[in-house]
Amino acid sequence: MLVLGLGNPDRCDDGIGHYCVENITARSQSFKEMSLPLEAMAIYHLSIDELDVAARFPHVFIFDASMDRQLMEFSYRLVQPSAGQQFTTHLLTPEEFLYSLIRLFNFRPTLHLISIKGYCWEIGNTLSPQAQANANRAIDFFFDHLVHSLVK
Amino acid sequence: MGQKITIDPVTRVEGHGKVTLYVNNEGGIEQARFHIVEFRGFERFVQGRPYWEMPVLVQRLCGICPVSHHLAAAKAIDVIVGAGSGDELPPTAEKMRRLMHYGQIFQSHSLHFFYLASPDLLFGIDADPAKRNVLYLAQENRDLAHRAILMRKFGQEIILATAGKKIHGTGAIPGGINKHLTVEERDKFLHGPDPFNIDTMIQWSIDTLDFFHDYEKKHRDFLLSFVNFPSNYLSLVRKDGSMDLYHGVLRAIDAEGQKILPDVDYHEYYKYIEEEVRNWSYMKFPYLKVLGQDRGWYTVGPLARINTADFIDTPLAQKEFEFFRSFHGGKPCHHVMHTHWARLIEILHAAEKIKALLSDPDLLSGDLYKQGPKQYEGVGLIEAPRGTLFHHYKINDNDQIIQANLIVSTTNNNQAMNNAVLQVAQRTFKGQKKVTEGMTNAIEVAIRAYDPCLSCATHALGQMPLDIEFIDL
Repeated sequence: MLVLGLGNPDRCDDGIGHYCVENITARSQSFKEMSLPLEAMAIYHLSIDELDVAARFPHVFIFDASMDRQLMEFSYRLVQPSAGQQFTTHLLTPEEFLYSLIRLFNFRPTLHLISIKGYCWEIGNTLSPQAQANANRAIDFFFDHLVHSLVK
Repeated sequence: MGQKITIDPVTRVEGHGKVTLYVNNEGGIEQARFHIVEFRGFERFVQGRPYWEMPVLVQRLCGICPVSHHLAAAKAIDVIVGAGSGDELPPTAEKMRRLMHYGQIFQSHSLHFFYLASPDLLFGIDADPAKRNVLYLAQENRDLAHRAILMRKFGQEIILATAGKKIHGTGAIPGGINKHLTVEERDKFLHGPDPFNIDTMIQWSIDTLDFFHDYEKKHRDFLLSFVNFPSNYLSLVRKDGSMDLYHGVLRAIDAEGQKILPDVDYHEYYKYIEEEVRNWSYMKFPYLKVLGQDRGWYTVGPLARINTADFIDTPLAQKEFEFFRSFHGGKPCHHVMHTHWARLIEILHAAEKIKALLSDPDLLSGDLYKQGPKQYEGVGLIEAPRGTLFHHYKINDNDQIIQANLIVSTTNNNQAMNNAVLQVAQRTFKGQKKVTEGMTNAIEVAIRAYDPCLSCATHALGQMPLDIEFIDL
């Protein structure tokens, strides 16, 4: 499994992705007995540079902050590929990332997107208490449901 | 009746620019201008900041070539802290910075050739715009696209290992560097599993040149005639005349190859180079004082470097250099599209340099920095991927910057790019009733050959109208 945590950790809750990577890395130690290799990376955003890494994993999980006010705590969905209209390959949506993987590497992992609600986007390097609580619940969901189903 | 044609924005370049073409009543091009429409103002707002912030602060000029600004600023601040220049620094510091710099050259040139330029070369200037990108390249030549991604990534990983971050790193400090290379980092690059190791990168660099040679044979007339005009050329060279992308003396040659600046000390660049401001662009127009404003403009970058150097001190790149020179009869090359060729030679040279440095034990241990008597002024020059980059700072007794002057690589090419735009426009626009996308892309192809970084290049001050509106929220 590959876990990608997106965002800028110097913009408060935009650092949710990085927070998730740190915590998942720490908790994944307990999964060694199940022989479930997990690699986690914290990056600013998805770009063409991560494609060769993602091409090695059948399951890729993206954790990212969301500004969606309708979102309760976090959401989860499987990503479908889409060519998109981005003017640059420096910044790809999850859909474009998957599309690029298929086009460039002839490989289609299962791409999971976990969007976590954030509240504060100013300059700062700590999460708001609410965002941190949402992230913890999302991480629990990841281990208790997503990883558990893969291990089974 | 005359008309104005605007190409806005110019695509597949870094930053924001536009081209305006003035068409006369006969349908010919009267005037062509390449405008830079961004205003950044770094030279002004760094004033008052402590000098030691410069190597980190000025990188925010750009997210594409921050390493170049990082190192040029560091070289200037080295002088201010009394550490001297170039090889006056401790060997570990100088070599770590060189490794960082060659990583930057390798990744930046790879990005430009594969992602930005090759779609035009491979699919044609008139191809559907939806196809002129690296993802379509992947569809047509997956192997080439893979290599493009991994070559760029290799260079970025070198930057990460030396600067601490791929973008806006902090490795270079006043008087030196803040870390050694670890054995693990060295071995990752020297002996990593295929294809992610330096030997593969060198081979791929050679393969890319072979690819270009094949392309050149099939499209020779196009490459020779697309944009071609005499120019002066400027770059750093090592004291013995070798290409040196990190440090050296300043050399300028004319269109015939005769020296205009005979290997002068770059710390006194202001004695030889002036900058002109024009009221239709935020990018300045540098020129060689000895030749005056009209004749003193010059070109920098890969083509300039290949034209000004006497030789290249890495064997594989030297072989390519000799072939390039003999192809052009030993004279300076003025075919702008051959800049792509020169760029690929530099990719190979950078890869060879990276391998040599990775094998140098000085990177693993040794003094990281030095300091000496403080100076109140410092100049740092470097050959960035896009050309000669000048950073010049003055400080006061409180160690604050009181004056800053940046002549950014792309700025040096301002007049040359305007000439290229005019030449292509005059040939392409000949009274046609309809302006096609292919016609406008032809203008962009000319600009793209210079690999401009437009965000970096905008620093005209004082003579441009600027409206500022304060909105009370």
